[in-house]
Amino acid sequence: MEDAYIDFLSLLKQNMERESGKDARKNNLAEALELKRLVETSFGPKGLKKMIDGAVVDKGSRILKAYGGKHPVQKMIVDSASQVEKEIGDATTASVLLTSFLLEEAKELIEQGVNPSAIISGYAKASGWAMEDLEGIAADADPTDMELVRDILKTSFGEKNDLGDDTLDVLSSLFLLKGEDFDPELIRVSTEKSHDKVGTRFVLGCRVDASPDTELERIDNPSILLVKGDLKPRKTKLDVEFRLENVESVRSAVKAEDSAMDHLSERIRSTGASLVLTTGEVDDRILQRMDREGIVMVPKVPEEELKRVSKAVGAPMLDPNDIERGYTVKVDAVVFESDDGCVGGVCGA
Amino acid sequence: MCSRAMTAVWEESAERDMMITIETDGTTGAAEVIIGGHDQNVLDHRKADIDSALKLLGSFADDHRVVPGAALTYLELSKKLRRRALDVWGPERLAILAFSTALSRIGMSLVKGFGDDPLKGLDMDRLEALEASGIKGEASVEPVSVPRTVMNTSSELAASILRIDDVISAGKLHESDSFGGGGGNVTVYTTPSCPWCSRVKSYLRSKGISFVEKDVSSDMAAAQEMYSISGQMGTPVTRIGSEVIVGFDQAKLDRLT
Repeated sequence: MEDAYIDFLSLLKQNMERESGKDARKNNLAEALELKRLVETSFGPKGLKKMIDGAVVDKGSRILKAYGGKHPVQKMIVDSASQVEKEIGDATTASVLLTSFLLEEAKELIEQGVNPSAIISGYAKASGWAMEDLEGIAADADPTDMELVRDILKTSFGEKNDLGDDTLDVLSSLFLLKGEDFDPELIRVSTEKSHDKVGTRFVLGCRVDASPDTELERIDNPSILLVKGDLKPRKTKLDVEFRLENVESVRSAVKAEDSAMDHLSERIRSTGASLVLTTGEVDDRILQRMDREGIVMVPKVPEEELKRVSKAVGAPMLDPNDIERGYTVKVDAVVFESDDGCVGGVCGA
Repeated sequence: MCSRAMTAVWEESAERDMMITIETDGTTGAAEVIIGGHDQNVLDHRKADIDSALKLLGSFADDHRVVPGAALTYLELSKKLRRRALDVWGPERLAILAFSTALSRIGMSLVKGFGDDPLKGLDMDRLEALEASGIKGEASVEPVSVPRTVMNTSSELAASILRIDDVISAGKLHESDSFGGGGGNVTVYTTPSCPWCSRVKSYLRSKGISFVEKDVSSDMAAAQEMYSISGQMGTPVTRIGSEVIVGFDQAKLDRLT
């Protein structure tokens, strides 16, 4: 026990700071309440905005993100708020405020001489009861009711965020398409800087930013295969040195490589795919062979986007070594549109 | 070695940048929401709001029960809890009452947020009257998952903060300077017409990273600077400390930020 304590102390370097006991608790509470001040006035639909680093910030979650938290306890609160945002997309300010209020009330009790552990157990009991009562208040709602879906959006993203009627329409229509099976991960949000196309609209289908190896503009009813990794023949483990003693040895080396390419091409062809999306790179010689077969290859698709495609169309993401074990999925069509003037992620080079 | 491989790929890639749309019959639920507008800042904020709104709808899909919007629910729960506290004795009762007070305070903060004065002694009747008078315009409802997540997270977090009695930190624990993250260290060289520049900027903003933007189409000094650090004239170029990234390279941005 004592040894562990000494080890623990030896971790403390000179430039580190340490607080313990009552001081630590008191300061932790003070730091936590500092955050409360920061977000308090931004709360609610008519909340005020803040200016951070010259940018106007309106939502609590963004204020917290920009601030980041200085003290370890503040960092805990900011982390947990961003977790709330990830889960339900709302109520980050509410959770920071409720945490602060709980701590403020606790601080008062501690000052009156109540033991912190009694407060912790009391809070646990209270939170359990509040949860029960919440179940009692909650009413079943109809997930196909357009007005209700709009009201939910308006309640959380009301006046201040000003989503606008067009956006409310788009979001509630997308929700009603699937109702209970609605999955926000299948929807990508993109921005378009434009003077004539102002407002929010949507297109159905899965969009991906990538560079296909094709001049085609559209393929109808393709079978798509999704691969996670590079499509290249495996490198030989040994460093083989080819001595160019005679033409024959060069020829056989080229032949060996060619047959490795042929083998991989054949494996891709045998899946029956007409469009292959992969997160990795594709060897140029494979591209040539696939081109001859009329199979369109799309290398370097961001993994996150391939995951979305996989989920949407129900095709598995396959390991390059295992493509035969998976299957392709037929979709209605695939359309290629160009992003003008940009090559490989750089514009106007 | 890795960077050499990347450069090699870079030089080879004469591919066109494209958008691929995989069309399905609409039953998959996959879609793209496109927000158009002139101001990139506004667009970025709007995108973040829409991303959040989609998540909210996702949690409504998982559990489609609703509660009255914000204030009303917290105030009602606070009242119920106050009654329940009577069954408990000792310091725990004080803690439960404190929890109830915290809930009513969150309710009051919301009322304040609606632009109404936090009226003293505001009761349920008054609140219902506020709702009925349409202070918020329309019916206010939220998925039950919202207050549930808020209460769960906050009570767990408050408890774990109360449990801490030792804080050790590398560097200063109490800093007096306020905002400013790691700002000033990141520079993005852009042109107004370049879509990938917008991608880089909105990606950095989405990660909460502040940066300095230099428009190389109007600022010759910036253009020279960009050329001298990257050896080429394509945009966007992002400089993070001593590292330079040409183009929108999410993996590299992730690694360096």
